[in-house]
Amino acid sequence: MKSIYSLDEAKKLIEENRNLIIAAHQDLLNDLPKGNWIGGTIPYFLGEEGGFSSKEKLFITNLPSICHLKSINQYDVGSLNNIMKDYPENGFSYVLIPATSEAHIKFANEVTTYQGLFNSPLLGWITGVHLDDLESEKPLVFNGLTGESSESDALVFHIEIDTEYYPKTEIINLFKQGSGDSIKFLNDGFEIKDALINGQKVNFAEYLNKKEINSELPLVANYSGAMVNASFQNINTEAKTVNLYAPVFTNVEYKIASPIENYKEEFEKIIQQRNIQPIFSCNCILNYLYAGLEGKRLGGITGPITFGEIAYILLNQTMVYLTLEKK
Amino acid sequence: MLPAKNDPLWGKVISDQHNFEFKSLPARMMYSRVRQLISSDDSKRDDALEIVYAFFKKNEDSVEHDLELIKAA
Repeated sequence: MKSIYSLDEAKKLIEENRNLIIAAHQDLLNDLPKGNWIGGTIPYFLGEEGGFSSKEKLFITNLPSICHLKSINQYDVGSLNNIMKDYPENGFSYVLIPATSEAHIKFANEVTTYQGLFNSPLLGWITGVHLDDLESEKPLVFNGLTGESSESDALVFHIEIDTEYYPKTEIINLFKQGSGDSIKFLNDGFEIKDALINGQKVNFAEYLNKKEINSELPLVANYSGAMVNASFQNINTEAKTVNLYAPVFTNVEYKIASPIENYKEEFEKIIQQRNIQPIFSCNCILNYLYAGLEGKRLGGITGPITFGEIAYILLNQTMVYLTLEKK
Repeated sequence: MLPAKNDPLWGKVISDQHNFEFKSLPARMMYSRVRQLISSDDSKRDDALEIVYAFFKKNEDSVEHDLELIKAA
């Protein structure tokens, strides 16, 4: 299915009144007419021809006709727990949150405590910018109905689907807990100072340096069979702190992931086993970078390459996807 | 058919006697959440039961397999 569009093609789709989810550079999103769409900034994509970066093309998920707009709602940092109150009766909710915004941090830290979180699929991604533009541009979300953008709020497209179908959100995470040390943390959050390694309190930055841990391998928690990653952003040797792209929690045991021999091959094996045809998927920019996905196809899967993935909670180095199944 | 809210079956999900290996992503995440909730505060068992029942009621079509696991336990 076509997913990469020029600006003119995107405008035409909007004018046809389609329900669209759009990923592109902010200049393109700014030029789009009002309509039934939400957009997030990112210039990295996995297209039909492989992974690439572009500020001239848009990645568009053109939702099938069984999907119907319920509402597009914006949630500021104080109202994130209202997302679940607006869930559709039979459908899914698609969320975009600007990277490093207060909403991003609060969502990641608190979302599991929000009432009704698991009652309907919630998926989406954290918006970003080109890695060369980290200092000059801000990640944004765009509400197509109003034409407004935000660098602070979460934006959610609540979508009803025809009653003879149901939605299903799943992930593909190639990382598994390795056989190394048991790691627990003394505080929740994105920034870590100390950890309990096999029960012994140590400075986590010193531990990682001493053990020469490959920081491309994330911390992995086992959520009753679902592997949930927290990826390393920075190990600050001077401040003796470690920054992560997702929060860790005190009551959860983590392990450093086992290495993956060949991301592309292992990923494609799973795609074949599951025999899926997602209507939407997204994958992490760290997988794009570390697995060298530029120019490579990935088992027929397409989607934006993001600064964090959401399947109910914030994920890292994980592919999130949605399928619509017949009842 | 979904068992009634007061069916003792739901208690199995928050009981220490069982360790369910759910198949679907949301069931795994929900299960992990309720277990954490109870492990940090045992008085939260009623809240956990509410989460479990609401989850299976709202996702009845997509978590059929996971419901069968509870029934079989």
